[in-house]
Amino acid sequence: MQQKIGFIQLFYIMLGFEIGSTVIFGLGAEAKQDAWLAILAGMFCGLVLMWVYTKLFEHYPGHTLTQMIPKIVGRYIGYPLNAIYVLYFIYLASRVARDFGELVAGTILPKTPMLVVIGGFIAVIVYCLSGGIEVFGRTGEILLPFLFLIAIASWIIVYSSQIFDIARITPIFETGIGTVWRAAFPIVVTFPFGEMVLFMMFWPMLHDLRKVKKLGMMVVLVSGILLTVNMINVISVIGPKWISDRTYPLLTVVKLASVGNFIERIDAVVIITMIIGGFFKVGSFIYGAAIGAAELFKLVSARSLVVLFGAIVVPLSLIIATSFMEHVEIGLKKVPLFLHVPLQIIIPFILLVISAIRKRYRRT
Amino acid sequence: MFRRKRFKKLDNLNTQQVLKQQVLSSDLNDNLQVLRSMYQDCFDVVFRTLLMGGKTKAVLVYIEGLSNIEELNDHVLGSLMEETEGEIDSPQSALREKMTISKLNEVKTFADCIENISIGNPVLLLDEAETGLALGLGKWEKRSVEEPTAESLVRGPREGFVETMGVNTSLLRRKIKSPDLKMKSMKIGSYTSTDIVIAYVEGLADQSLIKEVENRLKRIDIDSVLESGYIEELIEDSPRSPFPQLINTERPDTAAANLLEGRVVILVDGTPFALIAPIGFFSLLQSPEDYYQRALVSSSIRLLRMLFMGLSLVLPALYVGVTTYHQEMVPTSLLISVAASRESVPFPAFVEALLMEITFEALREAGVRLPKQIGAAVSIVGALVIGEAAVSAGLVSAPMVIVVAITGISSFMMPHYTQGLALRLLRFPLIFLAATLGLLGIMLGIITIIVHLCTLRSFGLPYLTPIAPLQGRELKDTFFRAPWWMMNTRPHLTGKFDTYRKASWKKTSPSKEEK
Repeated sequence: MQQKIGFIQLFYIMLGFEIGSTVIFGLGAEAKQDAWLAILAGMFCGLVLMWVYTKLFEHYPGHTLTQMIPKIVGRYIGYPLNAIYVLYFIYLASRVARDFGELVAGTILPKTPMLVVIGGFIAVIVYCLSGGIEVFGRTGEILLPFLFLIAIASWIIVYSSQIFDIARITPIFETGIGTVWRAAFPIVVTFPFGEMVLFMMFWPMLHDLRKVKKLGMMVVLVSGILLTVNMINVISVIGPKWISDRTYPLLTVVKLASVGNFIERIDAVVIITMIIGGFFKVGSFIYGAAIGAAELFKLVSARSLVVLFGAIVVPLSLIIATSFMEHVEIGLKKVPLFLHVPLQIIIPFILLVISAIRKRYRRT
Repeated sequence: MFRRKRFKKLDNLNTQQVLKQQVLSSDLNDNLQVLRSMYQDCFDVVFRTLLMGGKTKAVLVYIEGLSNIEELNDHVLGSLMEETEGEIDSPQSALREKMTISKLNEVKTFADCIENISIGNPVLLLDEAETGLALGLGKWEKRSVEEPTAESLVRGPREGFVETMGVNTSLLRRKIKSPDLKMKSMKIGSYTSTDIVIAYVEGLADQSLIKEVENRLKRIDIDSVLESGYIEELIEDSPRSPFPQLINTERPDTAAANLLEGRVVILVDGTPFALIAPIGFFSLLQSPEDYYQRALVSSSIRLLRMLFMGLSLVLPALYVGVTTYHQEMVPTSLLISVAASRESVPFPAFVEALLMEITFEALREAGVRLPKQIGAAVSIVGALVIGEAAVSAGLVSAPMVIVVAITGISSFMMPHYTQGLALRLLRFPLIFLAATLGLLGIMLGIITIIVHLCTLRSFGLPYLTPIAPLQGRELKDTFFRAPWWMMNTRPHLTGKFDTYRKASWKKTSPSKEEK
């Protein structure tokens, strides 16, 4: 019997996925003080993408992405494409794992080998996923509210330590709409919003399939707004100049926060909390890849593949780049253009067009 | 070599047990011979031969100390020895009319005989009769109902379960007087044949749950059951988990409250601890007193309990992690005083924490096991060892003592001892993780524990309900305890149930005219 997942559970997982690794980086930093506008723009594009994904799901209800592709484009194109998607998910999982490995190694545990950090992190994820989607969902229900609690608390601390100045987000549109758009596309659109193409693997497990559209749109909206608010906060504290200079602008902000000389340097707590987001991001990627591979190889259960993929992700995350700089460089320049745009935007769009044509053709 | 051992059914059917299956014969001497051979070398079994009404030969078999001898003398032997006038067609029916005993059972097989004899019912065997009579005269020494020691309350009933099944069921029956309270009995254990009673309230407990409990109990094949812990481990869903999946309670009021929430109570003869199933993690954080004290107070105490549950789990680990890896998190003045007190300590924080925690656990264990007379000595030594002396000797730092003390107190706060045990155990891996990976290690450890809790189920009920899966209506009795006039609905466990427990929002406040 296939395990099912509830609306709220998937909502939490998707939200954790969206916010997970995005919130710590300076998203849309090229646009300086207009970075939050870039995120907003990205969110609207994300809504369009989400519409494409959910429309596809409406055409093939109860199908995962890898199940519907062969039905739309045929087996000979479909199966290689599925394999590409599975590899893509595994690659992204290791990218996110690396992100968090670098974050931890660069801040709170500078002397610990990254292998230990990523290994421990992936081990916990694999343990969770081997319990199946139900356990993953329940874990989301417990951990995500906790994440928000910590986030709200740390923002209250930031607000109350008198380093907040909303005037720093002015002047708006200083460098023109073009800069904002260039910051938004392709990076912000594809990361994090376009990455939700992954959840096409999860939707068939939802209790109520009719709610998929509502779910997807809600997640894009809520996460977009949260990220925007977060970015406005960050800019208001450290100003536009530092946004693009710092690898982790959010951490710079929390480091500055100090209440009554007692609560200070809460960045370690924030990093640890961000781990939760990473947990859901990497976990979703691995599980999505496992579902895809199980369908590709006609296996009964995806759970057995989780351990395998976990074991692949750990070394892969260490060898995809030789240094953090190279990792970031690949992430900003190559991945969005060569992987994200085709796999998140072009292919789903083509699939939608083909399936729409097929549907009309069948009807007449 | 690695092949799993084939499931082997318990095979202790010896010749005597084969004899047990036999039916009583009409020849008294044959029956006696079989019984005597079974009870060979049992000096406490009494065979009393007598002549009924001066004619029929009869034998009374009973175990000394298990039966009420006085009543046996007055009501049985007296009337049996009396001369009967006239012919009687059947000695059996005559006996039934004559004996002034309320409980009389016919026994037909040796197995029946032995069962009755061993629970204290004397068996009367007659010559030329294929059935014997078991007389309900069981009476043995039992403890009287006392205040439960493992779960103490300030306000609430003072009676606790005892070791005798009959007393325990009567305690429950006195709380729930409805005939819907059902109690099904079964025997488990080939040597002990322990009485097990499954109690539930019909209409409140889900039928499939009752069936599942019964099935699991029936599948048990074991030689002895001496405590409900045996049953608990044999029927729980994940026996390898440190977390208990059934609650044990000594209190009839707790048992009754759970019965009325649709749960099943399993009573085991010979122990005052009854089992409750299914339960969730949050039931383990609830004390019966929460429901007896004022709602506001109980709710705050519950929050306090949850806070300290977290502390008892992570506080030592946090101390180790922060002092080893994340000193910058500590405010400077505090950091200086901690560093000053750790200056003379020769161990790293990890060793220090381990040393203190293990010593504390040892002291606690000693305190539980020691005879009461020397308990005071232990507490004095303990206070000295892990307190003042250790610090002034420079073995441990004063902050560590504080940490251990807070941890100790917070684990005493857990209303259910078994959960406190789980937390005590999990503290040590967390300390280790904190020593190796700092805060990240603690976080990974906590996530692992949470994931583990998410995988657990207790008789089909996810362990973390009502948080995951979220059930809004049940939050009224999780972090807070809603006032009784707001508790309109029963918690939803599994399957169908009777939702409403009281008329909605009915408060007894003064009516408008009175105001």
